[in-house]
Amino acid sequence: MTMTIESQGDLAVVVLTGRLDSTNAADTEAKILSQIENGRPRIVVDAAGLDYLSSAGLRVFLVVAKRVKVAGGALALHSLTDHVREVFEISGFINVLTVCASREDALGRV
Amino acid sequence: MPRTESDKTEAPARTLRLANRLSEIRRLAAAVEEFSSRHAVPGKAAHHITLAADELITNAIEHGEEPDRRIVVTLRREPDRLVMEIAHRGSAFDPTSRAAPASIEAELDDRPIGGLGVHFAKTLLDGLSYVRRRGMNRLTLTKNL
Repeated sequence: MTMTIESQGDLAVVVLTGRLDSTNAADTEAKILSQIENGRPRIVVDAAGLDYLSSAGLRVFLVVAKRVKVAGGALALHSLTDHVREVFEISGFINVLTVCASREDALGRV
Repeated sequence: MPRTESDKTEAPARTLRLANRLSEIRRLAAAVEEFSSRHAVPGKAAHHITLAADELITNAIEHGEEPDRRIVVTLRREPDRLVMEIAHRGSAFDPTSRAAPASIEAELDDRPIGGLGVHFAKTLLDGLSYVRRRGMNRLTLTKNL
């Protein structure tokens, strides 16, 4: 999976491409948490290129969501693909995490 | 080769031996995808069984104590379902006996981190059973087609 981060002020846009699973969840989490620790508690995750998500990956978003709250920021994800959206729905996380249809919507929610 | 509906003893099958490493799950995913396209298994069903297997194998590897043990996975394309058997030697580990995670509807603050994997697997599959015999843990995952 590739992860690129575009940062601007207190905002970080994380673009994920490929698979987020137990093999790379810890590393992905560490990199996003590092953004929060470095003064960017507003996190937008662009999931348009994410084609696979397991519970290990979902847990990353949960950890980030809890951490941004403490840091006075927010997390929003956008452009989920079908398989990934299904994982959010099965887990119920679609109701507790902010999921948007577009980058613009997501930016407005953080 | 044409197969009749009653030809149950000759369901197309594929066996993989995975090393006890998380990265092997990706090799399994590729094998399921290839097997599925060759034997007319819909993409959604293939993805569901792959994700369920990912969750269960990740659990087994993370909770297991024997890093040298192979995990043997067998896929079978039966007339109306896709069956995956996951077998590994080691101490008894029955994921089907775990309690369901705390309320799925819980608010963010109440949601515990962890415990979702087996719940996912059970939700995605039409059947999940566990048998322990002669030191082997054997899981059977079923997806109706």
